Amino acid sequence: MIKSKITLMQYIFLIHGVQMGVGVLTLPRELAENSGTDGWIAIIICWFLSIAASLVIIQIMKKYPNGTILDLLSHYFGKWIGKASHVIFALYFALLANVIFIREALFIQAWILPRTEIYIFILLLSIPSYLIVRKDISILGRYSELIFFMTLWIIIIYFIPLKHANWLHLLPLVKEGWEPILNTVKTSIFSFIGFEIAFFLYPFLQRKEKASMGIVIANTISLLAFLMITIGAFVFYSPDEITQYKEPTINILKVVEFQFIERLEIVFLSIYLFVISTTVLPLMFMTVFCTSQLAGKQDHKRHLFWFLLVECMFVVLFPPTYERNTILQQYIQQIGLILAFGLPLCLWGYVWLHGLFKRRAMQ
Amino acid sequence: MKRRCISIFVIVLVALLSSCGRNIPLEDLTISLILGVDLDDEMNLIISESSPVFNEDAKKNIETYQLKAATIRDSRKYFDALATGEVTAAKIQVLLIGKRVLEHEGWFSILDTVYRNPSFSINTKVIVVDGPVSEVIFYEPDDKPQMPLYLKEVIDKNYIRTRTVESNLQVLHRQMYEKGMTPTLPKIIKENDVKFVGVVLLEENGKYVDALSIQETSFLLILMDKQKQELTLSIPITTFTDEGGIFNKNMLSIDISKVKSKVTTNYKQGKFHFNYKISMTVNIIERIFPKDKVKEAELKKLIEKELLSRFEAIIEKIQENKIDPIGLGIYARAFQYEQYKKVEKQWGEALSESNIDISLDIDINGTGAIK
Amino acid sequence: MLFSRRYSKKPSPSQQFNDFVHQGQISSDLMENITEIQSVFCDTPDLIIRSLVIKQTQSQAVLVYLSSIADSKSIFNHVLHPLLFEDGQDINTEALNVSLGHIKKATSWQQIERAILNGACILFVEKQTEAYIYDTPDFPKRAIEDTTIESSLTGAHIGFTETGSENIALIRKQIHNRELKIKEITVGKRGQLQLSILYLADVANPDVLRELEYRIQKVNVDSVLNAGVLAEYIEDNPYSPFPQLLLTERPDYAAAEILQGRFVTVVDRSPSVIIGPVTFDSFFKTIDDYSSRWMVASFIRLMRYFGFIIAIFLPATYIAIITFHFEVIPLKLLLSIGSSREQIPFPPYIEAFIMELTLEMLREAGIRLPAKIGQTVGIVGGIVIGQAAVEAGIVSNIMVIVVALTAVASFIIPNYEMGSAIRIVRFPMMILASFFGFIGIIVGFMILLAHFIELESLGTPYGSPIAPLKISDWKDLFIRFPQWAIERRPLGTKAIQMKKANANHQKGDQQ
Repeated sequence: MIKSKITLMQYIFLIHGVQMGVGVLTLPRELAENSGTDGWIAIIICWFLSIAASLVIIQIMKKYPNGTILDLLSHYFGKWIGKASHVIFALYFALLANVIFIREALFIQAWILPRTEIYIFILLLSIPSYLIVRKDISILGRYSELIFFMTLWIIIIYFIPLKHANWLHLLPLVKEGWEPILNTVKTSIFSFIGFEIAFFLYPFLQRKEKASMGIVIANTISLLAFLMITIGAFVFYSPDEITQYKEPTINILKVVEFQFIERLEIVFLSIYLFVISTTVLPLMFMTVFCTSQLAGKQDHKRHLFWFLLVECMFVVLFPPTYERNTILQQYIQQIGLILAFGLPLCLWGYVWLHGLFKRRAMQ
Repeated sequence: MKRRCISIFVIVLVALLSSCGRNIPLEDLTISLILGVDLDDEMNLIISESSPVFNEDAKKNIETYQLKAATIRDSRKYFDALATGEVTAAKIQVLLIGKRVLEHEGWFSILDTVYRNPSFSINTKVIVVDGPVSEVIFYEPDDKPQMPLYLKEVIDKNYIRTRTVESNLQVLHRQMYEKGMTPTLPKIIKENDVKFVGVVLLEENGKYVDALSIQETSFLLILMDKQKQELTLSIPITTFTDEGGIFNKNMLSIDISKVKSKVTTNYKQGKFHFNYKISMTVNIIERIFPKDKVKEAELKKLIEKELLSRFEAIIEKIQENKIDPIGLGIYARAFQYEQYKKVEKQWGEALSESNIDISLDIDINGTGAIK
Repeated sequence: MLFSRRYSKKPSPSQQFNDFVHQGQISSDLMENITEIQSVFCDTPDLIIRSLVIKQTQSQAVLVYLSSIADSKSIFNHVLHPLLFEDGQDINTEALNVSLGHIKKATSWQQIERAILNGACILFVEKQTEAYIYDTPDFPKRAIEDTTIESSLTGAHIGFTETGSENIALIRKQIHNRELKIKEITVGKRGQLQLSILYLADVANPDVLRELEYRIQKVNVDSVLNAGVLAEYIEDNPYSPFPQLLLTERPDYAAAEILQGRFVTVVDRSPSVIIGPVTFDSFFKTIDDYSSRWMVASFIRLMRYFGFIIAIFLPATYIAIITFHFEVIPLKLLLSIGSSREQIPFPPYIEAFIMELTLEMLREAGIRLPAKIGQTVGIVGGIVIGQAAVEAGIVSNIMVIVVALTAVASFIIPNYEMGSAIRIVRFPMMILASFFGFIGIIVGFMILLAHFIELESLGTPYGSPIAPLKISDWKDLFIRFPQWAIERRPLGTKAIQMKKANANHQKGDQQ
């Protein structure tokens, strides 16, 4: 059934790509609002949590190595629960893709082209999205891999404003005790959401024995990226000031000036579209993968086409605003929390018990 | 397949067409380079702007307008009525603020649009004008480049020479919001020429309190640990009597090449204690008085004493005015968080009661090519 | 659908093959054969029919050939003369006494007709139902000369010619190995064309060979003019701007590619050969890269990739910046651009299109014209378009600089096909940039990447060391490592023998 394969690298960068996205642009503010400049400690805690959940996912998938989570659920719980899981996952990925896709367009409108309508961006971005997602997962893997290496140099630009940084902002560590930090975990855990696509990637992976290592590496790359960006923002902005900015990550780059180019945030955000696309495109793929499985079709092109069309119609009929998008995002993140952390734990318990009973029965 | 292809094509075409004709090439824009904010005698807000004219037929290459408006954004509609092209704020190089504006509390909120509108540049230099802004913005000297370029270069150069504080919109924003620091801004004055004269010190809420001369600013910058290039100081050695004459015989110029300034923060007996340890490497590059007047070892002591008195003068000024342009509050927060938290709201007062000790260590590196 | 692959489609029911060639066997009656020949080749004044009596057997015979394409001298010396004047001193009386190496016998008219058209002379002998075919072709041909398009500084100064057999000889000259195999295929219904696929049997991947053969056999045309035409028939995605098969006129380059595990298709009558499967980076390599020192070669290669980026994105970036994002230009440059653009009556994109199209026309005009007039075109282009257009206020100085840079950048690409591809891609980028600024450029780039990633050449990934990332192949990508460090053949060729045989460089200073 599964023909196309992805390499370990592609697997790592697919997962990392989904985790990196629009969230990073607002992350430093969200952290600072809750726990000041100690927010970065919360990220490390979240990293531990997400690695734990990721490893559980891999353990579950090992039980049924040649199918996705959908096949696994049908196998253990029967056809109808299987079907329902198709629908739930499809809806979840569709909504998540929708939120991020629209958020992406909102950012472009706010920062780069304020005079252009949102739906035009959605239309425009739909074209490359269609071209990339309509193929199989290995094309998507190649894309994520290429984009990661292509956009790596952005980090260098991010280091330039740090010459204005004041590292004293980070001191003292744990200034208000651990309570606010633990509270921050609730918001910052969403940055790591995205590793649950391992549920779907696992059967495609060429060397399955490396799956655990791969997912740890992917989470760690994301951790490094998040840490760098938040600490960078914390030392650049005064702790009293940082909450004033909606997207501090972009604002920092406004300071960068070279002899030949100024206003780097415009160039940066344009190029950052590539990074955001590595978040949106796998989510779109997962959506149409679920729906085409549900319909029993191998080819997901038609579903993708309809998905994008509905997306465009949605934007035309209900012009999105930043506030509405944020609210929707908060809802969808709650679902994400259940699917990425709750589901693996429950399933793991079930599978373990199942195995236990079976062994008993055999004896 | 074909139908879908066509439909995509049509959608794209519609999208393209609908976004057509919404952009203006840069030569048709009026690109503001200076924005001026001032108050007139009746306390009306005066906004002025200055932008380059690209047309070759125009005799002047810069156009300047000044008018009354409720806010900065409000002024744009009037400017649009006056200027040739669509007025845009994306390239403002210099923001001039009249001193009269600073004398009133809460002026910072007038700059809201500058931060809210992403198209504004955040690297715009903020300069205080001692006197009416219009005198500077309408000034067109024959021997200087256009005013926006000139002002920017002057401030940049002085910043690199450790003579003025870093002052752009970003820094101003940070200083306004930072509770452990009060803002400072460079000041220019229009006499015969427009010239840079030092910095102004503002209160936590932005109100004007005092000013520092250029040399005092250099000392302030050393306290802030923000010196850039070598810093040249010309100081009179006041201990020996001035022998008079036209050419001040007791002057000594030193080049400070390496400065390390370290602060340790303590909290004792209900007071903050800041201990500065400043070590400098200096080169003597000018000495008007004869060599035999003072011995090498004494010279070091004399310089130390002289510099120390300058530092202390500045600190006295700061404590008197209950402000903190150095940012000692950031140190207090980093190292004495609990105590700082208590006085955070009135940090200026807390600082004025605290002890600031400075110990200076000078290392004379060279005395130049002649004896 | 846009960018869809040609070979993913189901093959359409192939057209009924209309046989133009005469059917049937030759007769034992000489006169009948002559009439038959004359009826087939009517209105063919260069057909020579010479009756003779063979001295060896004393039998009546007829020699038939086309005088225009057969070598009269060798026919006279080696066929006619022995037949007419020499006795059969051989014991073996069956064979006729002819001093030629390549002799075939044929019974069907079809074979005979083809042989005549290929320059052979045919001997019909009375009472025999077999004719002798003597291979004596003498097509007009060119001497082997230096290459014209792909000139090289230090490579061999030998180019392929229009004769297939000679081209094979030129490749064999480079590779003396019995594993060098040649597969022959004939293509074309009217003008039959001999294709030879050259490859190393123990290196090249048999699946790729099968794919290549399958595609060539599927070509259903009257005649294939040259290698370029054939390449268009067999390439993977005809809607792609990028060339997916590499045409070269350099035997040394072709031989080098065979050694990498690729396939070289020699097309008779065409001065270039087709190399496949290729990857994107093949188009940025020249033979000089390998003969110059590795640092120099790497620098030049990096320049080429840089030129590639410049040529595609520079005019688009210009439009985007002038129209949308003037903020990113530093103030001083902004003022000078502003004053130089002030009197231009066109928006930036029209200005850019005028200049870019003019440049393309100038380039095209220069290629086809004789060298002397070509110079005039250069002067007209340089002075009139550049200088005068600026003075007249039609275009700005900056635009002229942008156009000139773009032109130089696109000429640095060593492969002509790829250079042209870049010039084409530039225009959609400019359109996107004029509507959406940087966002348009990025979206255009994304589309280009999407296409680049999924593109294949003979079923192998086109973007090989980059898009399915293969770090080990990067030794010969942007930086050319020293020759001894490149021990393996590129993974992109899917070669079955990866390690190169000559990788025995001594490490360290053991000697």
